[in-house]
Amino acid sequence: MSRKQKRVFWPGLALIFLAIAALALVSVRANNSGIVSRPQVISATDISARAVSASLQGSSPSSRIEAELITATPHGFEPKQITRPPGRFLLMIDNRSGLALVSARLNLGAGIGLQEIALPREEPNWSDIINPQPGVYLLTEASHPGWACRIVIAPH
Amino acid sequence: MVDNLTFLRSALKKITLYYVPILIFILFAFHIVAAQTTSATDGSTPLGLSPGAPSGSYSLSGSGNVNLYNGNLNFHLPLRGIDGRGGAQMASVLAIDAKSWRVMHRPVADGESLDWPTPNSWSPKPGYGPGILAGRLSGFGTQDCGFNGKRYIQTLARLTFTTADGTEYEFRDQLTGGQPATLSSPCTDPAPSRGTVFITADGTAATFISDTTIYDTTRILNARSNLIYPSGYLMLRDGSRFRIDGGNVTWMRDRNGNRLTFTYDTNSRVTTITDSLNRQVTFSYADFVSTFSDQITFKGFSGLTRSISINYSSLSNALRTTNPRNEPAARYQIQTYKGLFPELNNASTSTNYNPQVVSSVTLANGRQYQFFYNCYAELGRVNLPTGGAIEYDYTAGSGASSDEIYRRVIERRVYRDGGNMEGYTTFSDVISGVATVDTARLVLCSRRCLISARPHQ
Repeated sequence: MSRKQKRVFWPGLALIFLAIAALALVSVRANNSGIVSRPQVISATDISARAVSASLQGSSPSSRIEAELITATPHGFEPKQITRPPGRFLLMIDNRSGLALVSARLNLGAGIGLQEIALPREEPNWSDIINPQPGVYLLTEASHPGWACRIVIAPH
Repeated sequence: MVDNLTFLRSALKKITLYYVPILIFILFAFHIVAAQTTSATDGSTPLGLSPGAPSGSYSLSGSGNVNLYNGNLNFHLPLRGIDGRGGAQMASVLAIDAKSWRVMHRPVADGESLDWPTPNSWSPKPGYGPGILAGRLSGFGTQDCGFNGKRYIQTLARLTFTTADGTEYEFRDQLTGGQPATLSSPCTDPAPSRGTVFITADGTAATFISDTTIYDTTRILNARSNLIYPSGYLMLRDGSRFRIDGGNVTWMRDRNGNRLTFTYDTNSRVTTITDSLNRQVTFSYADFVSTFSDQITFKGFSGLTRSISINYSSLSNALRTTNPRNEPAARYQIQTYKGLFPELNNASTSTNYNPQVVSSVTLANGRQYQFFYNCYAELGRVNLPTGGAIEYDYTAGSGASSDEIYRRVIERRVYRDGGNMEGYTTFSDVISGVATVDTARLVLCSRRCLISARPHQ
């Protein structure tokens, strides 16, 4: 490596590490403040785009974040529908179906993939804080077309 | 200039190949650490929350026990006895256990945490089968391992066999006696081994020998406690032996070689039980679309097919309608999770707790047990086929704190004809290590009078 190259390489490397550290910090803070952490799978429609943008703007304290539990039972999701006002909430999905794997999909009404959530029998719980915009979202299961839970976010 | 461009291109390639994956890994690791959910049943079940009817429980009748220490009502109705030759016997039971509510925690900023209730117990239930074996892998304390994310400093693995009535028997590894393993170098140490032999420490003298070595986990996952479903042999002190495959009992054998065999569906629910005389009991399950009942089918007298139905309905259709102690009316109405547990800040104010519950059992002769519940889906009343009834009342409040939900059964009443009370039993809280049971028997004389009151400690 020439002296000139060294002059470019080491500052570049330092910058990359700084970026890594900054992004890691942002990631931790995002998780700590309970913001949706996997918005990248939301795509394609205006509603989903709004869901992503809104996720970074929540300002209510953690005490106001409510939890919604959806249980995968041998006969499908319980409850069949959740209706909520707009705002952040914690969604927890619990695999109690006895199946070796529940592959949950949180979809928009049109069937556009939002999140793929693998719930093996050994790690039955999944939870995350999400902030979807008003609309109707559908939680389904890959191997059981009849399983569905509607998540209705009422308008303001 | 060209030299510089080539260098930059190779640097970019390096970044794409090495640094970006590292960056993604770091972000993923941080995400998991921050999002980990915890509950009081991580690692093992505290005695205050243990379900079922462990040794020392107060027996109420053939189908009920109260754990005086933690206040749990364990109602188990034997549905069908499977009794071939010798000691290879069991009964398929309907178990309704009050201890299932837990508080889930998830840390957020500034040391705060989200606390919400869940009605799901930590492990799957064995249903109509003889039991289920599950292991909990958990850990405590974390160490940052840089690019390798975070690892536990102490790890623990315990196995639990849950019997048909919900009672849990904990197995500890023989190597360490179930001690947590402390890692001297959490970032580089391999997951500690627990060996293959696990034993109970409660005097039941049961032993489980795993087919493979069981290891702790050092990885930090979504929840602090994760499950395993081991395979191996479970042996009891009376010489009987259970074969466990993936947590399910596939056969049990007494010391004389008499055997019961079990098959399961993909949901790990028992579908057939065959006894040592080759008699078979089959189980089919409600799909909640066209059928709302489980069926137990077997051959009765002179080979006739008989069946028992376990019927379900939503909790809103199975709430108790009687309220002799004038509890708040809301106790027998559907409520939101926040309504049930106002102490838990993050319980839902939008969603009602209205699960499917067992509303009745229709016996082979057409007679029925009927079940009614309170708003927590705890058993509130059983109408017996004979016309009598039993009622249960629970803790006045929610029993919740930010750490745990601690609810107790406080009174049991017996009605000889469904309406006239024959007697009642009250169960006190544990005060200075003593729980008091007061039983009163009422008889009808010219006016209702108390003829006996028997304290039991």
